Amino acid sequence: MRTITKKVILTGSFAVGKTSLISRFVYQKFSATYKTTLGVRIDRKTVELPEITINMLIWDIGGEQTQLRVPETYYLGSSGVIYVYDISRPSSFSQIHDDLAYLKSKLHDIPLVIVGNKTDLLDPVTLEEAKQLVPVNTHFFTSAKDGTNVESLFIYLAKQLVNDPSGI
Amino acid sequence: MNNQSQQHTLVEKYLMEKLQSIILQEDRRQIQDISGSLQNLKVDIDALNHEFAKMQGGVSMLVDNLNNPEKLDARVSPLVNMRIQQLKKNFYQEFGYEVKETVKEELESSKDEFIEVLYPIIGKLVQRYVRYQFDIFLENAQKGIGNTFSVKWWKQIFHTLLTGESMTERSVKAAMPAQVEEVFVIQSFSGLLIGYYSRSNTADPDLIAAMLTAIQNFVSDAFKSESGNLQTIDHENQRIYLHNFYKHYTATVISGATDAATAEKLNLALSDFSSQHIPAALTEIDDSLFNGVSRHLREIFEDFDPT
Repeated sequence: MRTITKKVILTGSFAVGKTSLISRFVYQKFSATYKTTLGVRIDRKTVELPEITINMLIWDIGGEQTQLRVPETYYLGSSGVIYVYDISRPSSFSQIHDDLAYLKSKLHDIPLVIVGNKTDLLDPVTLEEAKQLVPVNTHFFTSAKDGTNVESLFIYLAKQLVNDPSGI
Repeated sequence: MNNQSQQHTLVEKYLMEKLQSIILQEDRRQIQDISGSLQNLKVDIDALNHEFAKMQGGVSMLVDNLNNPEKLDARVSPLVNMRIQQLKKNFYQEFGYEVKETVKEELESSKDEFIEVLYPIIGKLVQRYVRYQFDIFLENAQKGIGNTFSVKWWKQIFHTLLTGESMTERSVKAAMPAQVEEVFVIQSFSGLLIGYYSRSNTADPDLIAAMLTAIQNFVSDAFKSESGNLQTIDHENQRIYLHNFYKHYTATVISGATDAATAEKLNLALSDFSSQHIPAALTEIDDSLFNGVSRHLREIFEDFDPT
């Protein structure tokens, strides 16, 4: 089976669970202790699709207050972006329009997946109310803690990376 | 009447006694049996009483032994010693598996503590190794000095005059010969690995390539440099040479003594390599491209002399 390698950016505001998401996906585990990401952390994960294997090099960027403080060159050459916010903390998606506009200005025509993380922190009713507050269309609501939708998210992105419009 | 009556009474009495004798014969036998059993029971009880008295004596002695450490020690020690000897002899058979599993589990769960304990010991070993290598270096340098005014020395003098390379540089290079350890061919900006050669295959090359790219990006960003790039990174006794091409760059790890000519020699070799084996349009990196480039890297750099 053919294998291709792709660079993927994982970004979003600080403390939204980006590093935990990647830990859950890459190592199938969740670290309960949050550790502020220093600059960039790079992990590798292979996703096997029926026709092709995708070797994803995931650049876990930032943890900064805004996207503007992340070195621009980190985004170069990437084939996909995952933007993560914390569904239980509205301040984490208060700047989502600006952040997405910035990402789109730097990364043209590549798949961008928007993720609302930490669903485990809300009960079903509050979760539905919180979803109404998010000003953009979210592709996946995930929980790095219990694994909800994490695998699906990365498989969806892998399919997008090989231009498979079927997604899930 | 009296006579007759008396006679009659005697007969009745006799008959009564006879009758009693006949009727109670069985009872008498049973009474005798019971009496015999009782006698036996009495004998048994006496014997039990005797045994009980003996046991009481034994229990008293046992209590006395338990309460007296010296006596207890005299009794128990031989047994314990015997058991210890048995355990010593058969420890592996009896507890080998459990001990092995426990040690394995403890080591896995306490890696950090383990390293902390071992670190000073490893440090001493490394120190000793460095001292040993330095001694070898001094010995080689000494040999070089010992050749002064020999034919070899005159040859070196002429070499120095022709190339500008000092004798010290030559001595150091002879003592610590340079060697290409690893070569990474990396797509610029994305940091994806296009090809890789390693003498030892010690780390994950994909992640190293990405991190090298991140370091380059960070330096460019920090110093607001658009055209300048990192050229070398030094780490312990190794130097990483970075050569930038248009759509890719290379990182070559060299151990040993290098000089000013090393970068240029590498640059020439890598330029030739890139023009021959790296496609001009690098739209996608797949395993076919990676394997081809890596094979060519091995062919060129396995016996490459970087000095």
